[in-house]
Amino acid sequence: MAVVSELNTAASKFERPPRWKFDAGDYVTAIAADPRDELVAVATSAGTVHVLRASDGALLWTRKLFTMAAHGVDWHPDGSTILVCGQNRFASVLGRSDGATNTPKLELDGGGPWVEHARYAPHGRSIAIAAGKVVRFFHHDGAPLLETPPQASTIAAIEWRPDGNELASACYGGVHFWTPSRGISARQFLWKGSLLSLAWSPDTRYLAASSQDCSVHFWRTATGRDSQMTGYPFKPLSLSWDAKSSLLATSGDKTALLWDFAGKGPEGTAPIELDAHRALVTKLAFHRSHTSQAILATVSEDASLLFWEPRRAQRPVAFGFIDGIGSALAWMRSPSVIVGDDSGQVARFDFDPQR
Amino acid sequence: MALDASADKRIPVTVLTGFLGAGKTTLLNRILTEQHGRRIAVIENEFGEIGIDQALVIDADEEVFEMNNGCICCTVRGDLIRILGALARRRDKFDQVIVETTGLADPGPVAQTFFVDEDIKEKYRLDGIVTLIDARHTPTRLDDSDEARQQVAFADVLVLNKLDLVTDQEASALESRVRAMNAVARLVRSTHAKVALDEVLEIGGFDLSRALERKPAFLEPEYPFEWGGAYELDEGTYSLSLSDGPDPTVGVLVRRDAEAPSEERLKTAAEQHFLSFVRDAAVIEPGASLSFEGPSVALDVSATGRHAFTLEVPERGTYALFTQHRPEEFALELTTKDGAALAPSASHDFAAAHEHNDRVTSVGLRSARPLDEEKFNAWISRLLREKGVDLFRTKGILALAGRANRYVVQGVHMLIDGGSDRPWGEEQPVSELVFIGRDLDRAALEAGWQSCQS
Repeated sequence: MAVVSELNTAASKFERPPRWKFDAGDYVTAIAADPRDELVAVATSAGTVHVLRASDGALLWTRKLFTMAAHGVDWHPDGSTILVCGQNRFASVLGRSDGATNTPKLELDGGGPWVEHARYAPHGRSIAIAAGKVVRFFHHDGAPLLETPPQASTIAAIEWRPDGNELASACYGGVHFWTPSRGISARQFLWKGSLLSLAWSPDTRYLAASSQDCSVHFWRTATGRDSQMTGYPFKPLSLSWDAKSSLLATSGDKTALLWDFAGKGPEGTAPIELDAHRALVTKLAFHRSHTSQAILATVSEDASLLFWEPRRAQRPVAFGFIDGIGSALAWMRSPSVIVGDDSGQVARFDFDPQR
Repeated sequence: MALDASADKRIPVTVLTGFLGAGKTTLLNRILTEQHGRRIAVIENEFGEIGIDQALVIDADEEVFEMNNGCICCTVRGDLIRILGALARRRDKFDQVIVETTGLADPGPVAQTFFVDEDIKEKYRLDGIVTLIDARHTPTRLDDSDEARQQVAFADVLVLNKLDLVTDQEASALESRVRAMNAVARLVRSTHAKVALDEVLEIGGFDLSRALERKPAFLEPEYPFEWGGAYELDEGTYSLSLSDGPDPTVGVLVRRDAEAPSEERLKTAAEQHFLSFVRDAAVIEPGASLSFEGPSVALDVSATGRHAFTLEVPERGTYALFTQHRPEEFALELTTKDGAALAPSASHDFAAAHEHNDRVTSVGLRSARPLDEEKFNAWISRLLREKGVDLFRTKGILALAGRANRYVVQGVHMLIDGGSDRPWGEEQPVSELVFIGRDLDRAALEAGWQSCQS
C-alpha cells in the first residue's frame, strides 16, 4: 500500500488502530449508529441483524430475520426502535433492547418479494419502505398512509428530505417526490437513465443522484435545473454532503472526487481530488457536525479507511486498516466511524486529529 | 472476459431462452435435479413450476433500460444487475446462476449487461445462451416473430426439443433453417428436454479463447442447393422419384460431367453450375423429362405420394445432380428402368443459402492473408457503429500482421471485446470472422473484410 506505507514511515501517529472489532459472520450490508451514540446496528448478507455496544463492541443481541440478505437498518431519530429490511416481503421494527427471542414490534408489508429500502423520516413520524416498483408509507405506529403507483422500474433508492416532509425516490427515468401527509405529489425530475442512489444536501437546495452510466447527476430543487458530472470509471454509488452543503463527495474511482457547491455551483469547475487509496473507493461519508472542520471518511477495496479534512488538505489526516473491501460505513455523533467489510468484520475507529 | 478460462473464478451464468412451451422449465428442473452438490441460483422472469428445494429461485420482472453512452442499441437488464449484485454479497457463494427469460425476451440486453456493467463483469461471466426450440411450433414462430428469430440468432446452443412430435423430415427442415440463421451455435436434438448437461452448461459461449472453437457450418460458400451427387450412368432411361415433403416443389439441376466422380470434383462442378440454379425455376409436373441444359427446374411434389420424373441418358458417363433439399427430406431416389435404386459414386452436402427469407442470417468471412490491424479496427468500429443494431453476435479469430498470437473477438450488438490469445505456433494463421445478424449485406461485408488485408 504505497501511500499508507509512506504515512507509516513518515510517522505512525497517523494510524488509528480500531477501538474494537466484531465478527458479524458475513458480508456487512449496512451499519447504523444509534442517535444516542450508545449502540450500533449491523446488517449482513446472511440475513442477520446484530446490535453491539458502541463503547466496546460487545454483542448485545442478534436476530436472524431473513433467509437471505438483510439490506438495511435505520434507527428511529429518538433511538427507541430499529427499522430493518431485507429479502423478505416484510420490513420489521425492533425495539432498542429487544433480545433475540422477542417478536418484532411491527411488521410492515412491502407487497413484493423483497423490501429493498426502509427509512424513518428524519422527524420520526413516518416510515417509507420500497419493494419492487412501489413505495409504501406508514405512520411510525404501523398504520398505512400511502402507496405510490408502480414506477417505471424497481425503486433503486429512497431518501427523505432533511425536514422529513417529502421523500424522493429514484428509478429508471428520474426522481419522483412523495408527500405522505398530502398524498401523491406531481413533482418529478425526469432523466433518461437508471438512477441508483440519492443524496439531499442538508440545506435541501440540491438533490444528487448516481447513475448506472457512471455519472453523478444533480438538480437544484427549487427550479429543477440539472447538471451532470461524467467520466467516472465505475458507478459512483456512494454520495455524501458535508454539513454546510458546500461539498458533495463521490465514489466511483480510487480517487474520491469532491464537487464544490459553494458560490455558483460546481459547473465548469474541477473537483477536489482526494487521491490516496490504491483501489476503488466503495463508501464515503462526511461527519455531520456543523461546528468542526468538515471530516470525510472513505473506505475502499484496498482494505483501508482514510480520514480527510478536504477543506484543509488533499492528503489523508489519519488512516486505519480493515480486513476486507469496505462495504458499510457510518459515523457516530462523536467523531468515530463504524466500518464493515465484505469479510464480515466490523470495527470502530475514533477520529482524533490531536492525537 | 478472461482469456485464460481455467483461471477464471467468476460465477458462470447460463441464460435459458425459448418461447412459452418450448421446454425451458423442464430443462431447468432437469439441470437442478442432476446437478447434485452444485449450488445453483435461478433468476426467473417467467413464473414456472420449479419444485427443487436446494436451489434458490428468485422471481424478478424483466427490466430493460437504455444506457446513456450514446449507443442507441445498448440496453441492459436492471433486474439482473440488482439481483446478481445482491447474490455476490454472500459468503456462501453459488457455483452457477441460471437466468430463465420470458418467452418474448430479447437476449440482447441480457448479454450486453455482462459486457457493460463493471460490477457484474467482475464477479460473473456469461457462459452461454441456450435457446430451446419447440420443433412443432417454432417454424410458425420463426415466420411471424422477431423475438423468436433473435433468440435463435443469439444462441450458443440451440436445443431442438419435442422432436417426438414431428417427422424426421420436419426436423431436418427446421434444423437447416435455424442453422442458416445461426451457423455457429451447437445444435442439440432432444425430446422432453433430455440433453446432456455438458451440452448446455460450461460451454464458454462468450469465452474469448473459445470463440469459434466450433467451426461454423458455413465457412464454405453458400449455394442455392443443399446436396449434390455424382452418378455413373449407362445410356438409357432412368427415373428420379420423390415423395411429398416439407415444401411443395424441389429445385433440381442435372449436368453431364466430363470427369470421374469424386467429392472434390462435385465441389468444382457446383462452382461452375450454381448460377444456373435459379430461384424462380419453371415448375414441371411428374412424368416430365429432365434436361441436361438450361436453368434448374422445380419438381412439383405437392400431391401426396411418390412422384417420378424421367431422365434420358444419351451416352455412358458421369452425371451430376444438385438438389435444393437433402435427398432424405423427400426420400429422393434415382432408379433404373427396372426399378433398381442407384447410389451416387460421390456426394457432398452443400451449405445452403437461407430459403425462408428469414431476415436473420450468418455470414462467415475468411482470409488466409494477415489483416492490417489499423484497417481492421477502423472497419469494425465503423461497422458496429452503423450496423450494430442489426448485428446480434460477432465472433472471430484473427491473424493480424506482425503479431505472433491469435487475436480473438466476441461481440454483442455494438459492444465488442477483444484480446490476444495463444500463439499460432505450427498452425497456419487464418482469420475467420462470423456475424449473425439481421439483413446482413454479404457483399458489403466481404468487401470491407477484403479491404482489411495487409
